Amino acid sequence: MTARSEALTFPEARPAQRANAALLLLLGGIFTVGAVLGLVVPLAWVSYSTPHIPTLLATWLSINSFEFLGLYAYAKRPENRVGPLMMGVGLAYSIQSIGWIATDVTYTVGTFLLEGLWLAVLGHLFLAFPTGRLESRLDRGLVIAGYAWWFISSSLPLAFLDFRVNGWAFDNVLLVDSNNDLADAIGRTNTVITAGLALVFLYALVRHWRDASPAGRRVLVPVVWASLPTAAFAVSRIFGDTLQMEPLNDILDGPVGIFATTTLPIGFAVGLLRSRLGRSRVGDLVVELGEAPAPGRARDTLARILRDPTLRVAYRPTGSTTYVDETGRPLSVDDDMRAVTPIERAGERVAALVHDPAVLQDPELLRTAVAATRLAVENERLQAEVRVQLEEVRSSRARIVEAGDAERRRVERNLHDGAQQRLVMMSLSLRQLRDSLPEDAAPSLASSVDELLAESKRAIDELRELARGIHPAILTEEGIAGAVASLADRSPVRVRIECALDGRFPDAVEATVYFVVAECLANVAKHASATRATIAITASDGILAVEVTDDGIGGADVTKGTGLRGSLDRVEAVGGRLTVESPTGGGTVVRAEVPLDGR
Amino acid sequence: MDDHAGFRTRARSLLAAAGYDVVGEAEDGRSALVAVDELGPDIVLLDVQLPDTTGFDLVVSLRRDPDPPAVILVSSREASDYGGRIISSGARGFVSKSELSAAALTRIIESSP
Repeated sequence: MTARSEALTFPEARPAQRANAALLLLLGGIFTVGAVLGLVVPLAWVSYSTPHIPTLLATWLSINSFEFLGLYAYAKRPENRVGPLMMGVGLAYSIQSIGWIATDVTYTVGTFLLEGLWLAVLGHLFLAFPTGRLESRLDRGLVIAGYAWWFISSSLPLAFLDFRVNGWAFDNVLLVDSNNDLADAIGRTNTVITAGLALVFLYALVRHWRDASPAGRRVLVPVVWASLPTAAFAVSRIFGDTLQMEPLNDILDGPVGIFATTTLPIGFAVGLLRSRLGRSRVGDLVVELGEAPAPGRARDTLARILRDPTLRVAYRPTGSTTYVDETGRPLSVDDDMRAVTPIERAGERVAALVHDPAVLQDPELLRTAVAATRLAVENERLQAEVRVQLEEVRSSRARIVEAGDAERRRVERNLHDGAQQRLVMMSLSLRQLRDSLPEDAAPSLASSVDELLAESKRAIDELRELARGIHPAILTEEGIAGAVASLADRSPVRVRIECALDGRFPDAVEATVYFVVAECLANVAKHASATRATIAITASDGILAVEVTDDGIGGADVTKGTGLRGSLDRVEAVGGRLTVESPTGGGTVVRAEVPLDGR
Repeated sequence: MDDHAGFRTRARSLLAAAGYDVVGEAEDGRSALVAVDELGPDIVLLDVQLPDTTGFDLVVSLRRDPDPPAVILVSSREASDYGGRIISSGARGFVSKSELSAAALTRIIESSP
């Protein structure tokens, strides 16, 4: 099945999307809140521990890096939700810090209820990267499940967890019934379900990678690399906590842990910047296109932007239902192995991209590429349209000439088989009559018959000459070499022929060359005052070429008179070229080249 | 041989009047080959345009005979309409139909061996 994607429409010109000032302010506010909250952690920590300034700063940086880089990403790519999502991760993480504020509500909410929310947001970010949108149903379902599961898994045990029983300093404001055994049991079950959800999430990520186009993977690579230290950190943390390995926990609490958790937001930011670079490449390549690109350049540029060297652009001429390529040749867009992205303008289909289905993995890049190359594609479509029309005119012109030739052949044959035969019969009968005249017949009778015989011979000769002018029989019988030799024989000027042809050529080609030579020899005899002429005929590289040279007075002009002009039209009608060199006093050279395939 | 009965009739009487013995006629290439085989003529007057073949091709077939007749091609066209094909066909000569006469035939027969 051919992959068919949604039609893209050439967008109307509109200003580039700018970061929304109000939203930027709001997000900046969130960043500030997150940053302030993030400071509460080390401050509270400082209150009962020996402060270590570099570690303090690093911890704060680690917590705030998601927000800071998210804000940066939003400023650079306001249309993309990855920035706000990154900030969401940072905020969801930072907001847990309110647990350090010494009240029952902040302790309950910050330390227990909000625990793990940041993981749900992080999962959302992973699945939405790099477009900011959730493209598949699995992704959307997983994100909803992630948020729902965060709320259930943190609030359900909290309903039964009595802080005072554990000897903690605050009250659980969400306590429904004091039953710490039940709370522990729920907590253990939750861990198993969380692990299951995590596996589905990993599967979704692997699927993203597997389905990504080469350009899409380029964007994912930094995130994959950056995830490795964070994943190693998370696994070590689970081991350290579960097995209570204090030396390991000490290391994880130090700069190693901070480094490991800071790489992830950097990975996202770099990935996003890379996809932006992919788009800025679009700009460079479009500039390279220039104002008057050569045919096929729009295709080349699109192929480079979308990193699909096999990409083809199919243009649809106005009023047509089929596609052509940039040279105007028919191009099929039905290919089971390829994806087809139609391009429309004002509801009319103008072109289609035939490409690797992997290109569809980055719909934003596809849209950008199509929008950026709009003018070039439009331009090439018009050029292709003109070429198609030109080709139609050219082939209809050739058909008209061929039909004319066929008609001439038919008329010549009819003259020969009809009137000429009758005249021949008549002349034979007259000859018979004269031979059978009695010896004593009146002399006037014999001379009358002789006169009739002579008259019928003149009629036959004239008819023959007329038929030859319409379409020479020798051209049909003998081909171009014999026909040209016959022309030369009848020419009043001495003609030398240089001709080494083998076999026959298409009727239209032979007829064209014949009529050019006939026209030239007629001109030589009538206008050139020449003493000799040369006809050179060669066939090579699919072209039959003839050159007629004379030593006459020159001055022939293809734009004057109908003779040479008619030859030129005829040669061009079958796709050939005719040139005339005729300096005054310097003889004339007429050269015609006729392609054998009529193109 | 000629597919045109009117021409055959006139040619026959024209030649007979001049003392030639016309032994047979044929209207196409196939019957011409049969007739030549049966009648063994000395001279064949052969039209260039026949319904089933050309006079040129028929000359080649006729000349395969161990004792081939002298073939004289006739046509309502002129010799110059056929270029070099008349000579290369192996025919003894060519007469335009409007010029056909016993004298013309005799000239051709006598001019070449």
